[in-house]
Amino acid sequence: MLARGLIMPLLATCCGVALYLYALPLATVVKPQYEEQFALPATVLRVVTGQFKEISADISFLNALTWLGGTQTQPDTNRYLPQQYQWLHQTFENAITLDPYFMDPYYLMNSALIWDRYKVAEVNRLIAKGADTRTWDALLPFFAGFNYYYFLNNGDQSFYYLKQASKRSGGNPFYDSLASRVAYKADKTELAIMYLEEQIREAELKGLKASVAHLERRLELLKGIREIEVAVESYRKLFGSSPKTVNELTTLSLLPSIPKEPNGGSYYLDPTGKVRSTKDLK
Amino acid sequence: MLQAIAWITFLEGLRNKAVYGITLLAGLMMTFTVALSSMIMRDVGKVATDFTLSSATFAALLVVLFVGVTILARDMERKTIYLALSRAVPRARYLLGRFCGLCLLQAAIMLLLLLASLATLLLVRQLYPSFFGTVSLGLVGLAHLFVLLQMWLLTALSMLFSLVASSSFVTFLLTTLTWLIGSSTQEVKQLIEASSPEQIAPVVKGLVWLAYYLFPNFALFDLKATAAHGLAISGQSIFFTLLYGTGYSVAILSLAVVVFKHKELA
Amino acid sequence: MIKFNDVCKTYRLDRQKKVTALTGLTLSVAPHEVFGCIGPNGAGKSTTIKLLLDLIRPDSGSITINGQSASNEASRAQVGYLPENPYIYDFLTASEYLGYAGRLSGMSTAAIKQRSEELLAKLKLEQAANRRISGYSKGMQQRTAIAAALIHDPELVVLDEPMSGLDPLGRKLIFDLIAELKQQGKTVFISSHVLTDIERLCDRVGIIVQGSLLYQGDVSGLAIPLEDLFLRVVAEAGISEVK
Repeated sequence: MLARGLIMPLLATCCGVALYLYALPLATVVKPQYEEQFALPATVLRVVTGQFKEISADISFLNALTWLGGTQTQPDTNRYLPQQYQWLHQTFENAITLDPYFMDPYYLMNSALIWDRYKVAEVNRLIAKGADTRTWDALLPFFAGFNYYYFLNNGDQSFYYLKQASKRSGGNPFYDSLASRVAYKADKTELAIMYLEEQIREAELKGLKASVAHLERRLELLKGIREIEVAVESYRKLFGSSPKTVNELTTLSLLPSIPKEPNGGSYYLDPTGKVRSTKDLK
Repeated sequence: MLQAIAWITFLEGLRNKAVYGITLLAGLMMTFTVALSSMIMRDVGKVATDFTLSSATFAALLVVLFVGVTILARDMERKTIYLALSRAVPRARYLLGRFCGLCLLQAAIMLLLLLASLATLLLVRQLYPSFFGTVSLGLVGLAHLFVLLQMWLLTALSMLFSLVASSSFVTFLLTTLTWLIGSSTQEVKQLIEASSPEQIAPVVKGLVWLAYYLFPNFALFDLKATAAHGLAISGQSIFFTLLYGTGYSVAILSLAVVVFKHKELA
Repeated sequence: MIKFNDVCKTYRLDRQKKVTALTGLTLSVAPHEVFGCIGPNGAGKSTTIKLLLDLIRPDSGSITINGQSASNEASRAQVGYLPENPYIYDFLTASEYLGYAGRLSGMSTAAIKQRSEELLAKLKLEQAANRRISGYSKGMQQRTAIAAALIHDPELVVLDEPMSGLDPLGRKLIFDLIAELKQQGKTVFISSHVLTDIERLCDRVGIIVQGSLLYQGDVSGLAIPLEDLFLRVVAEAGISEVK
């Protein structure tokens, strides 16, 4: 039997050892902020935060928001680094696990992750789940539905969610028209243009000037692509094959002039005949 | 007689400097809420509700831990309890009087916190009307009430603990741990039930089940998400939650009376 | 009025150690009597009082107040208690404290008011009556506690070291108070180290040493000074430790 006087010092020794073994690896490597994400599974977070889970969700989201506000994309690709996307994804997912009704993470997942084409299937699944959870909300099913068609070619899911959006918004004709275009397998770029026009309209209503400018640039890009696509279609009808360069279209007067690329890049035709921009779709 | 004991307890709480610190803290947190709301893009109302309700919960918890526990501990330590017990005051009545006084104190503070919360939320709604979302102010009120009920239950537990613990710090620890555990037993139980049988050993399942029934389920009293998003709430769930709280409190207080009746006050 | 019958009490300090506080204490105090209880420190005087008030319970034996068992709280309806080194609620004023004490004894507001004024005057606390007790001196706190013990005009007054913390002026006040209680025909049980006061105030005296009542008798019939008697009794008991 240990003498009573030895128990405390021994306990203290064990605690001290545990502490330095824990601290040592963390102290030696200075990790950038986005790598220091807690690896706790989200469900454990729910247990650990107890009655403060909603506020933890808020803080998690604000963390991501402030980071987004302060960090620049890589100058050459106009995108973030892979681990930065990973961190954003993890942070947003934590936020919605802690509070599945919280709108903002879903919204940002859509604008920051989906449109940057990061793990679209997985992220859209989360947005769809959000749409199922926020049963009064029309915006999330709209996002989910649009993404299913535009990015994932899943017409059935797309149609379902766009109809949900229509129902929940009390029959907004915009969602209805999108749904019907999906049903008739309409051209994606046209859909995207409609989508963006609606987004801009909404943003203007709410006075979100920064969002409006950003969205308008994207719209301009898509309109430019659409213009060229229409010219490409005409070319195909005439010659039975796809043109090689955009200049060919202007030379043949199928296109009055090359539209200005709003991000400073230039339009080109990729090997499959699709119209793209040198500055990736943003 | 019970009223006199309850009233003195209430006064003791009010005249405790900690109460002012705690309400000031809550006030600051709510002011912070308004500033924070400007950062959120769409669910402004929800975030504001989360912060005000969480501040209220935290403040109420502090009152239980630092005012309630102190009042009980001091009574025993300083033997001020002799005044009442040397008279024809039954021990059960003294305990219940103390309990009622602490509940009254909690209720008064919660009323103040509710007013502050509503003021904050109304201000936020004024500033960002189109982003206020589906917050239900009525449910915010109900949520505050449920936090109060939760703290009444926790107070009963802290009284029991103070009668068996060797020091006020131990009481404080036990009460805090009980609150933390009680806030997550429901979550853990649901997790265990949702997972497939091979993943969880039966012993673990049994322990979780036991903990769920033994510890108070405080998650039942947490209406933050409901209030922040204006979710539907059934009258049935309210009724049975109240019944649960009543049953549990009665059980704990009765147990406390038994312990108190046999306690030697040397 | 008070009857202790063969009362034994042992305290358990921890798993092994036990301390015997009282062994077979048999003591009685008649109505209207002023009884003085003296003994060395740790003899069991406070234990005796706490047993009387059901604050602690005897291992064996019985304790009655006016025929009622001490375990019945009704037995304390007519009891006023002053603990040794009393702590009182320092967030209250003396008036509020007396008001609380009175309400605990079921007094009406009018009765409380009248008795408070009377007692505060008698104990020279009127000036401080509306100040918080946290600002009182030790003597004032002691006097407030005594007032609370007497607010309901109890038939039995139990005083554990009533003079502690008091300066000579305070002691005179309390001495006169006890004398007045005696005159009013109250039963008073005093535990004190101030043997001269015991000699002057008490009708009977009991000496408790190491948990037993080794002597009891009338004060008037004492042949030698109480102090000498006390020392003799203690010496005969053969105590080695001075606590």
